[in-house]
Amino acid sequence: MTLLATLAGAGVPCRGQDPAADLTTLGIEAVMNMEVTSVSKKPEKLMDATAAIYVLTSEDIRRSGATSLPELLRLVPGVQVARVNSNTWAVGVRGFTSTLSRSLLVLIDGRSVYSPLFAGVYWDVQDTPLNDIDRIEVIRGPGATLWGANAVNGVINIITKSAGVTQGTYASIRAGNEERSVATARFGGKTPGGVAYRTYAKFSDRDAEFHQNGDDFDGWHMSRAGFRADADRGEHDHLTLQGDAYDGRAGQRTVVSSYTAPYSETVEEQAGLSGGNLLGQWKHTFHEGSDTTLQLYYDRTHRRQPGFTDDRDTFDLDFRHHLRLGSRHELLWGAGYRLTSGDTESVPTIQFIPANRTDDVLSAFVQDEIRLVPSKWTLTVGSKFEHNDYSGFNYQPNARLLFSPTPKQAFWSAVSGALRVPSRLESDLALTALLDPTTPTFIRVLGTKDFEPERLVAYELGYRVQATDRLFLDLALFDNSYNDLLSLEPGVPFTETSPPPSHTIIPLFLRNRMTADVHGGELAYEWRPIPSWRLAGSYSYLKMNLVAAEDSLDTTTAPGTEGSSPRHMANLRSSLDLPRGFGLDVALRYVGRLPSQSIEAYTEMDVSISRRLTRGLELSLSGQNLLSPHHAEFGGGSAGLVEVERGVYGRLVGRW
Amino acid sequence: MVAPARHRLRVLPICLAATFIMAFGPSYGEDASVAGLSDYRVKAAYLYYFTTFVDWPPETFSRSGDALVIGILGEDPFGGILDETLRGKTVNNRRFIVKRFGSIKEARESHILFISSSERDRLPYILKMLEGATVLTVGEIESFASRGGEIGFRVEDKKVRFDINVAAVERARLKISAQLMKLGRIVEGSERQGG
Repeated sequence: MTLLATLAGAGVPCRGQDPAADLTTLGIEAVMNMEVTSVSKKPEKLMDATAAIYVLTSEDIRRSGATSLPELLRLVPGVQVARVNSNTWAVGVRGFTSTLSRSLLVLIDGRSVYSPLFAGVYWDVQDTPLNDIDRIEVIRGPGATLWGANAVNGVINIITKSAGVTQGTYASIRAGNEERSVATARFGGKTPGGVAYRTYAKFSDRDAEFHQNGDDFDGWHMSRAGFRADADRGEHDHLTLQGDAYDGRAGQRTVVSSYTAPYSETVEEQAGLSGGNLLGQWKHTFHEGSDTTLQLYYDRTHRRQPGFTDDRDTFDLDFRHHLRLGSRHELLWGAGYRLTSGDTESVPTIQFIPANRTDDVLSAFVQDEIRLVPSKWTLTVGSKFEHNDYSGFNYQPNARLLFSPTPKQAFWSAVSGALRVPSRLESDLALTALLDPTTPTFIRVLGTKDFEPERLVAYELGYRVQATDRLFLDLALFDNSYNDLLSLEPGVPFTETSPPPSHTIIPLFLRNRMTADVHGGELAYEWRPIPSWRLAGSYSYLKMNLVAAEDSLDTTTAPGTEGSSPRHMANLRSSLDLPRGFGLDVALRYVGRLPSQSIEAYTEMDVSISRRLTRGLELSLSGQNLLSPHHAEFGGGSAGLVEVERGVYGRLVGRW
Repeated sequence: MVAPARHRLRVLPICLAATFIMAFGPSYGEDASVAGLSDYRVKAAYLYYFTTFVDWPPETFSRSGDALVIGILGEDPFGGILDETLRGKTVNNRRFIVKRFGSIKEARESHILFISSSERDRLPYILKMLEGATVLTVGEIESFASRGGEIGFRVEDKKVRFDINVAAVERARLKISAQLMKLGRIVEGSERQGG
């Protein structure tokens, strides 16, 4: 024990300080000079959650060495992240993984980035500067009551820092073989009137991944800039205004069919991606136990891909009121309106009918958190009510029960209903692809106007324990029952004479003739064997069983979906603080095989070494996917298989 | 809405039953084993030291039966650490009572009030409601002291330090010893300013 050193040498890092010591007997000066090893309040806050939630803190983000949002999500238990190519990702929670995971809702500061056109999230334009992120909250399982439709298998909430905590100048530059260059600069200040603000700019240039045939089509380049301002106005009001604009290119390869010979060609093109958003939020406190949040945003996206262009404008208004009723009820209710308008332009074989469409969604929710026995039993009940232009009115209820026998452990269980509502894809799509050039014969995937929402009833059970001050365990089990899942139903083939030459079409209608039972669980732990060493890890198990209805002719969706999510996943990450300002982070991950994507199980490792050079200057060296020169994580569809390469980069961060 | 598949209905009672069974099983996690040094152990110790450097008007103790009341407003980030730190301790022969408050009105009765980060967005409102109360407000919200709180924690080079807003302390009719003033960083700011 070297308490003497602590007492004697102000500023001397004191690795040997006795963690069990009674700090109130040492004197305040000694306490002032003690190094703390954790500035996270994760376990305490998580204890009361009645959902399988995992929080990545800004410290996790800083130490991870990850350079993109999907890479960060690799650290979260139960989240499958597969890099399809340099700019395309397949992210899934509790199954149903695809490049556009349709049952996963992603929000950035309350702004939905779920595309209502193709039903899913385009990760290539979600390139928020990682250093501005305060935390990422990932909820596995339904979050529909609070977040609304499409929060079926999970919700990812990305929350950026308040402008008040990003004061001063920050600059980061990264250079390497895969992450060729990523540069971020940020400046934060405060106006005399007390408005805190920041502005940022970020440029990234990422190399193509590994291609057996050497055809490196998938480079990824993004430029973005944005701002955020936060201000208190009087005692009752807090205002936030923020916005981003981006422009980028992502190399894509697609097979595009046409009705004239040679009927099909492989197109390689730089997709043009641009957009922006502006969000305002007003929080008002009426009195103790009553506060409201009003949020309005506008979001614009432009996406020009081979054979297809989409321009979309979205307005969203959201109101929430939190009200304490007596000593036992915490009532939360709200209402929202979203207007989304999209214009598509495309080649004849990829069509949305009509090409342009404007839709709105009206929603309301109410939830009551009832303290049955204060600080022991809490019951939460609530429901979302929504009306959309595709499937009309729906409601999505849930009931959650929390039991906290001691402040350090909690049991919870939940039953919830959630819907994945139809997107334009299921309603309006007519996608034609060549089957046989000799006849010629095409298949045509056709949306149907009466496509129903996909329905989930989820049963969940969880247990959390701060077993000792150094060990935290979190277990979640689930049984998900799905009805009316998407299926592809062949219709009667017919001949089409226009456009000439005449050709045969085999129609495939999008219907709801699939059910599924998915069950599994995730065990996550966090262990600090010594104060300067943190180990966090998880194991996830998933069993999917999709069954086509008796009147279904679909034989491919079930094995295709089941085989795209791994049965077993595990990860382990170690964060070690070393003397002289060094930090060493190692992350290992195992992902089971994906039979329908022809992907074998793999284990990969990322290593990051950082060193604080002076106050405000940090240098780090990171290696990603170090265990093999290249490995495949997901099938590439018509673009062919692309393998993720080993990457090494260096990074310099300055703050002043 | 959703009509669950019939066999699913059986799972619900099992889920609930399992929660209940586990609820009455052996409880564990209460042991105060050796800890890593979390910032909250340090912050809890600071709250203890503050009571030795601050003078409250004597009448404030009549309301608490001579005890020093340390309150937490909002989500408790200490998770039992504060209770452990202060267990059995006294300052000037006064014992400690740790209280968790849901309402600001009740919180006015404390001597030290720790305002949790969960209250970040309504901090100006809370400080307004505490006007005229002889309470030492302590927090870890960014710029806590310059936003009108009395003592704000900040973590600097992995060490927990604190800011003192002298004007706010004076408004609360508290006296802080010169020694504590020397250890903290003096900041200016009033309740009306924000950021």
